[in-house]
Amino acid sequence: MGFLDFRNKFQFKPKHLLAPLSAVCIALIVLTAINAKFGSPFKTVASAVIVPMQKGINQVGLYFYDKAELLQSISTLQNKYDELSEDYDELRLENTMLIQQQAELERLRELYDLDNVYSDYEKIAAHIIAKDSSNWFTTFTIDKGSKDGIEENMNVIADGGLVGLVTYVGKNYATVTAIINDGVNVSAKLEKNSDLCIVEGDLTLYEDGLLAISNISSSAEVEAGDMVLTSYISEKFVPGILIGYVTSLKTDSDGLTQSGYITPAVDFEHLEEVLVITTLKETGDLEEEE
Amino acid sequence: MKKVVFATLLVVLSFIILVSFNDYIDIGGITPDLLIIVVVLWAFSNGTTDGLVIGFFAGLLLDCFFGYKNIVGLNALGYMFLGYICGVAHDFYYSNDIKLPLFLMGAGDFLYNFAYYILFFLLKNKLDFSYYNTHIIIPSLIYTLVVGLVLYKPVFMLCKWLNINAEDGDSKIEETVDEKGETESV
Repeated sequence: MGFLDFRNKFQFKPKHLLAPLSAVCIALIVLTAINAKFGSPFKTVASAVIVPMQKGINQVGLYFYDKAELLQSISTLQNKYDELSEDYDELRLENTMLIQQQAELERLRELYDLDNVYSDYEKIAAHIIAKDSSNWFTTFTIDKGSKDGIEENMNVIADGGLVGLVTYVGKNYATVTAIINDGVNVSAKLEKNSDLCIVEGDLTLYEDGLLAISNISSSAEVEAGDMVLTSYISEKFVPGILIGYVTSLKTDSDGLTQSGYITPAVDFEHLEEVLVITTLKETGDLEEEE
Repeated sequence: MKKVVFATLLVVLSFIILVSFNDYIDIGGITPDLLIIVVVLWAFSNGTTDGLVIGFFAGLLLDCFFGYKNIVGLNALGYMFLGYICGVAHDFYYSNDIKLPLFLMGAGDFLYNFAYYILFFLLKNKLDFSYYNTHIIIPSLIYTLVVGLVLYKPVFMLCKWLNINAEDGDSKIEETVDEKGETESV
C-alpha cells in the first residue's frame, strides 16, 4: 500500500495534517468573508451529492406525511364541515359586500396607477428540501436554483406573507434566510397610515412566534391587528408585501418612538412550499455592477 | 477503504436526517447535534487522524449549506479540532467506559453552542446569556447527550468491527508510527 509506505517514510503524525487543514480553514474563512464566491467550488461539489438525496427523501417524506394526514383528517373534516357550514352563510353576505368594494377598489387603483402591487410580481414556486440544523438560525434550502432563474436577494413569500430573502444560489438549490432570524432587519410601514418602522427578528421572541417592531413615531395611531407591510425605502425587499400584524405596542422611554411586537403572517414552523418573487428590488446603487 | 465508506455514509446520513427531518426530530425547536455525536464517537474509537478528517468534512458539509453569511470554514475548523481532541482522548484512554465519550460529547456541544453565542450574539450586544443558556444551550446539550447515549453502542461496535476487519490493522500501525516519531523528535 503506497499510502502506508509514505507514512512510514515521513513519520506521519496527525499534527502534520491538523496544521495545513487549519490553515485551509482559516484561509477559506477569510476569503469567503471577503467574497462568498470563493466558497462556491465546495458548495457545488457538496450540493451535487447532497441535494438529489434531499429531494428524494423529501418526496418520500411528503408521501408518508400525506397518507398520515389523510387518515387524521377524515375525522376532523366532519367537525370542520359543521363549523364551516355555519360560517358559510355569514361569509356569503360579507362576500357580496366585498365584491362591490372590490370593484370600487379596482377603479381606484387604476385611477392611482397602483396596480403593480405584489399580486402582479412574477413568482416561482419551490419546495423546501432542508432546514438549518443549528438551533440558532433559521435558514432553508429550496429545490430551485440558478438554472430555474433564481438570483440572490430575491424575496420569498408563503401564505401571502414575507418569508425571507435568497442569500445564496447554487445551480440546483438556493438558500433562504428567514426574517425571523436574529438580527435580520426589514424596513417596513404600517398599512393604515404609511408610518415607517423597522421589523427585526429576535431569537428570544422566537418561541412566542413574534417579531420586534420599532421606530414608529409616537404620534402614529396604531392598534393591535394593524397590518405591517414592507416599505418602499427597503433596500432588498420589494414594497407592499405583508409581514404580519401588530400584537402590542408601547411608547419608548424617550417618548419619541413606539416599539413592540408583531405576529408574522407566515407559519414558519410548518413551511413546505414557498414562492420566490423573481422581480428584484431596484435600488439606486446599481452602478456597482460592472 | 471500508472505513472511509462507512464514515462518509455516517456523516451524510446524519446530515440528511438533521436537515430533512428537522421538523420530526425537534423538541420545542431544539434539535440534537447529530454531527457532533458522530464526530466524537468516530474520533474516540479511531484516533486523531480519523477524528480530524471526519470532523473537517462534517464541518465543511455544514458550512456549504448553512454557513453563517455564506462563510465557509468556521464549522470545519471547529469540528476538526473537536475530532482531534477526541482522538487524543482515544490514544491514552481506550475502553468500553461510556463516561469519557459522553463527557466529550457534552463538552463539545456546549463549547460549540457557546462559541455560537459569543460570535453571533454577544458581539451584537445581546447580553442576556441566561436566556440563551436555558433556552438553547442546555436543552441542546441534554438532547444531544440522550441521542449520543443511544448511538454510542452501535457506532462503537461498527468501529470495532471495522478495525478488526482491516487486515493490516490500520490502527496498530498508526500507533507504532506515533511512538517512533515521538522518540526520534525528542
